[in-house]
Amino acid sequence: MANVIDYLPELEGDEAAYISKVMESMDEKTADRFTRVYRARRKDPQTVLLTALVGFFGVAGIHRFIVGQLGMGLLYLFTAGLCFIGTIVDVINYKNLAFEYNREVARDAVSLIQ
Amino acid sequence: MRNIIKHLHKNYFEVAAFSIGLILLAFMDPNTTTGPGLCLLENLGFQYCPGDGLGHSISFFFRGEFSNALQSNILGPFAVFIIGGRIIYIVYKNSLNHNKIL
Repeated sequence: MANVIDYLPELEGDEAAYISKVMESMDEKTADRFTRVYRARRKDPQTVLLTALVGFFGVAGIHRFIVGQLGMGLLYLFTAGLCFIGTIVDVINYKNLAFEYNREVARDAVSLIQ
Repeated sequence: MRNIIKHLHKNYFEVAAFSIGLILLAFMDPNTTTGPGLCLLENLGFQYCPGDGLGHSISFFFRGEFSNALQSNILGPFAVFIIGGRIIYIVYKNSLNHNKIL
Protein backbone atom coordinates (compact mmCIF):
# COMPACT_ATOMS: atom_id res chain seq x y z
CA MET A 1 0.00 0.00 0.00
CA ALA A 2 1.59 3.26 -1.19
CA ASN A 3 0.75 6.67 0.22
CA VAL A 4 0.48 9.48 -2.31
CA ILE A 5 2.04 12.02 0.09
CA ASP A 6 5.29 10.02 0.20
CA TYR A 7 5.57 9.69 -3.55
CA LEU A 8 3.95 12.76 -5.13
CA PRO A 9 3.80 15.50 -2.48
CA GLU A 10 3.19 18.23 -5.09
CA LEU A 11 -0.34 17.02 -5.89
CA GLU A 12 -3.32 18.90 -4.52
CA GLY A 13 -7.08 18.57 -4.21
CA ASP A 14 -8.93 16.34 -6.63
CA GLU A 15 -5.80 15.15 -8.35
CA ALA A 16 -4.26 13.99 -5.05
CA ALA A 17 -7.48 12.19 -4.12
CA TYR A 18 -7.65 10.49 -7.49
CA ILE A 19 -4.00 9.42 -7.56
CA SER A 20 -4.17 8.14 -3.98
CA LYS A 21 -7.03 5.88 -5.09
CA VAL A 22 -4.97 4.71 -8.06
CA MET A 23 -1.91 4.01 -5.89
CA GLU A 24 -3.84 2.30 -3.12
CA SER A 25 -3.25 -1.22 -4.32
CA MET A 26 0.33 -0.73 -5.54
CA ASP A 27 3.38 -2.20 -3.84
CA GLU A 28 6.51 -0.13 -3.32
CA LYS A 29 8.24 -1.01 -6.59
CA THR A 30 5.20 -0.39 -8.78
CA ALA A 31 4.45 2.85 -6.98
CA ASP A 32 8.02 3.98 -7.62
CA ARG A 33 7.74 3.32 -11.33
CA PHE A 34 4.28 4.87 -11.54
CA THR A 35 5.55 7.99 -9.78
CA ARG A 36 8.41 8.42 -12.22
CA VAL A 37 6.22 8.01 -15.32
CA TYR A 38 3.38 10.14 -13.96
CA ARG A 39 5.59 12.99 -12.76
CA ALA A 40 7.37 13.18 -16.11
CA ARG A 41 4.14 13.33 -18.09
CA ARG A 42 1.63 15.25 -16.02
CA LYS A 43 0.91 18.93 -16.61
CA ASP A 44 1.02 21.35 -13.70
CA PRO A 45 -2.28 23.25 -13.26
CA GLN A 46 -0.22 26.39 -12.70
CA THR A 47 1.30 26.09 -16.18
CA VAL A 48 -2.21 25.86 -17.61
CA LEU A 49 -3.28 28.96 -15.65
CA LEU A 50 -0.27 31.04 -16.69
CA THR A 51 -0.53 30.13 -20.38
CA ALA A 52 -4.28 30.83 -20.25
CA LEU A 53 -3.52 34.28 -18.82
CA VAL A 54 -1.22 34.96 -21.80
CA GLY A 55 -4.48 34.99 -23.78
CA PHE A 56 -5.29 38.43 -22.34
CA PHE A 57 -2.10 39.87 -23.83
CA GLY A 58 -2.23 38.53 -27.36
CA VAL A 59 -1.77 34.84 -28.04
CA ALA A 60 -4.72 32.82 -26.74
CA GLY A 61 -5.12 29.07 -26.71
CA ILE A 62 -1.62 27.92 -25.74
CA HIS A 63 -3.06 26.19 -22.68
CA ARG A 64 -5.43 24.21 -24.90
CA PHE A 65 -2.51 22.99 -26.99
CA ILE A 66 -0.68 22.02 -23.79
CA VAL A 67 -3.53 19.80 -22.63
CA GLY A 68 -3.73 18.24 -26.08
CA GLN A 69 -6.88 19.88 -27.46
CA LEU A 70 -5.75 20.86 -30.92
CA GLY A 71 -9.13 21.96 -32.31
CA MET A 72 -9.97 24.20 -29.37
CA GLY A 73 -6.42 25.55 -29.42
CA LEU A 74 -6.67 26.62 -33.05
CA LEU A 75 -10.12 28.13 -32.50
CA TYR A 76 -8.85 30.15 -29.51
CA LEU A 77 -5.75 31.23 -31.41
CA PHE A 78 -7.65 32.64 -34.37
CA THR A 79 -10.50 34.26 -32.43
CA ALA A 80 -8.51 35.70 -29.49
CA GLY A 81 -9.97 33.11 -27.11
CA LEU A 82 -13.54 33.47 -28.43
CA CYS A 83 -13.33 37.23 -27.85
CA PHE A 84 -11.80 36.70 -24.36
CA ILE A 85 -14.92 34.89 -23.11
CA GLY A 86 -13.29 31.48 -23.60
CA THR A 87 -10.11 32.72 -21.94
CA ILE A 88 -12.05 33.90 -18.88
CA VAL A 89 -13.89 30.56 -18.71
CA ASP A 90 -10.57 28.71 -18.81
CA VAL A 91 -8.90 30.92 -16.21
CA ILE A 92 -11.75 29.98 -13.83
CA ASN A 93 -11.66 26.36 -14.96
CA TYR A 94 -7.90 25.75 -15.25
CA LYS A 95 -7.69 23.12 -12.51
CA ASN A 96 -10.28 20.94 -14.19
CA LEU A 97 -8.58 21.26 -17.57
CA ALA A 98 -5.30 20.08 -16.07
CA PHE A 99 -7.01 17.33 -14.07
CA GLU A 100 -8.83 16.07 -17.17
CA TYR A 101 -5.48 15.71 -18.93
CA ASN A 102 -3.69 14.23 -15.92
CA ARG A 103 -6.39 11.60 -15.42
CA GLU A 104 -5.63 10.27 -18.90
CA VAL A 105 -1.89 10.38 -18.10
CA ALA A 106 -2.46 8.34 -14.94
CA ARG A 107 -4.47 5.79 -16.89
CA ASP A 108 -1.71 5.51 -19.49
CA ALA A 109 0.97 5.25 -16.82
CA VAL A 110 -0.84 2.38 -15.07
CA SER A 111 -1.21 0.43 -18.29
CA LEU A 112 2.44 1.12 -19.17
CA ILE A 113 4.00 -0.17 -15.97
CA GLN A 114 1.99 -3.38 -15.85
CA MET B 1 -25.82 21.25 -1.19
CA ARG B 2 -22.23 22.49 -1.14
CA ASN B 3 -21.07 19.18 -2.49
CA ILE B 4 -23.58 19.28 -5.33
CA ILE B 5 -22.44 22.77 -6.37
CA LYS B 6 -18.81 21.67 -6.17
CA HIS B 7 -19.54 18.60 -8.25
CA LEU B 8 -21.41 20.61 -10.89
CA HIS B 9 -18.67 23.23 -11.07
CA LYS B 10 -16.01 20.57 -11.35
CA ASN B 11 -17.64 18.62 -14.14
CA TYR B 12 -19.98 20.90 -16.01
CA PHE B 13 -18.71 24.48 -15.74
CA GLU B 14 -17.24 24.46 -19.24
CA VAL B 15 -20.32 22.77 -20.70
CA ALA B 16 -22.58 25.35 -19.05
CA ALA B 17 -20.50 28.34 -20.20
CA PHE B 18 -20.29 27.23 -23.82
CA SER B 19 -23.92 26.05 -24.02
CA ILE B 20 -25.22 29.34 -22.63
CA GLY B 21 -23.08 31.19 -25.19
CA LEU B 22 -24.36 29.10 -28.08
CA ILE B 23 -28.00 29.35 -26.91
CA LEU B 24 -27.75 33.14 -26.58
CA LEU B 25 -26.28 33.35 -30.08
CA ALA B 26 -28.97 31.04 -31.45
CA PHE B 27 -31.66 33.40 -30.14
CA MET B 28 -29.86 36.56 -31.26
CA ASP B 29 -31.14 37.96 -34.54
CA PRO B 30 -28.05 38.68 -36.64
CA ASN B 31 -29.93 40.88 -39.11
CA THR B 32 -31.33 43.40 -36.65
CA THR B 33 -28.49 43.32 -34.14
CA THR B 34 -25.68 45.48 -35.34
CA GLY B 35 -22.61 46.53 -33.43
CA PRO B 36 -20.94 44.71 -30.61
CA GLY B 37 -23.36 41.83 -29.95
CA LEU B 38 -21.83 39.65 -27.26
CA CYS B 39 -18.22 40.64 -27.85
CA LEU B 40 -16.54 41.66 -24.62
CA LEU B 41 -13.77 43.68 -26.24
CA GLU B 42 -16.08 45.83 -28.37
CA ASN B 43 -18.47 46.36 -25.47
CA LEU B 44 -15.49 47.75 -23.58
CA GLY B 45 -15.03 50.33 -26.32
CA PHE B 46 -12.23 48.92 -28.45
CA GLN B 47 -12.65 49.25 -32.19
CA TYR B 48 -11.06 46.03 -33.29
CA CYS B 49 -11.46 42.44 -32.12
CA PRO B 50 -9.75 39.46 -33.77
CA GLY B 51 -12.89 37.36 -33.33
CA ASP B 52 -14.83 39.98 -35.27
CA GLY B 53 -18.16 38.70 -36.57
CA LEU B 54 -17.86 35.30 -34.90
CA GLY B 55 -21.04 35.78 -32.90
CA HIS B 56 -22.96 36.97 -35.95
CA SER B 57 -21.49 34.13 -37.96
CA ILE B 58 -22.65 31.49 -35.45
CA SER B 59 -26.05 33.18 -35.28
CA PHE B 60 -26.39 33.10 -39.10
CA PHE B 61 -25.29 29.47 -39.05
CA PHE B 62 -28.11 28.49 -36.67
CA ARG B 63 -30.58 30.12 -39.08
CA GLY B 64 -29.21 28.14 -42.01
CA GLU B 65 -27.82 31.17 -43.86
CA PHE B 66 -24.46 29.61 -44.58
CA SER B 67 -23.10 32.15 -47.08
CA ASN B 68 -23.83 35.00 -44.66
CA ALA B 69 -22.22 32.98 -41.89
CA LEU B 70 -19.01 32.45 -43.84
CA GLN B 71 -18.96 36.11 -44.84
CA SER B 72 -19.21 37.33 -41.23
CA ASN B 73 -16.36 35.15 -40.05
CA ILE B 74 -14.88 32.22 -41.91
CA LEU B 75 -14.41 30.28 -38.66
CA GLY B 76 -18.04 30.56 -37.46
CA PRO B 77 -19.44 27.20 -38.62
CA PHE B 78 -16.23 25.41 -37.62
CA ALA B 79 -16.49 27.00 -34.18
CA VAL B 80 -19.98 25.51 -33.76
CA PHE B 81 -18.71 22.04 -34.63
CA ILE B 82 -15.60 22.27 -32.44
CA ILE B 83 -17.49 23.65 -29.42
CA GLY B 84 -20.38 21.22 -29.93
CA GLY B 85 -17.91 18.35 -30.14
CA ARG B 86 -16.20 19.51 -26.96
CA ILE B 87 -19.53 19.70 -25.08
CA ILE B 88 -20.51 16.19 -26.21
CA TYR B 89 -17.02 14.89 -25.31
CA ILE B 90 -17.18 16.29 -21.75
CA VAL B 91 -20.68 14.93 -21.13
CA TYR B 92 -19.66 11.52 -22.50
CA LYS B 93 -16.46 11.43 -20.41
CA ASN B 94 -18.34 12.41 -17.26
CA SER B 95 -20.85 9.63 -17.80
CA LEU B 96 -17.94 7.15 -18.16
CA ASN B 97 -16.00 8.42 -15.15
CA HIS B 98 -18.99 8.33 -12.84
CA ASN B 99 -18.05 6.32 -9.73
CA LYS B 100 -15.04 4.83 -11.41
CA ILE B 101 -11.38 4.94 -10.47
CA LEU B 102 -9.52 3.97 -13.62
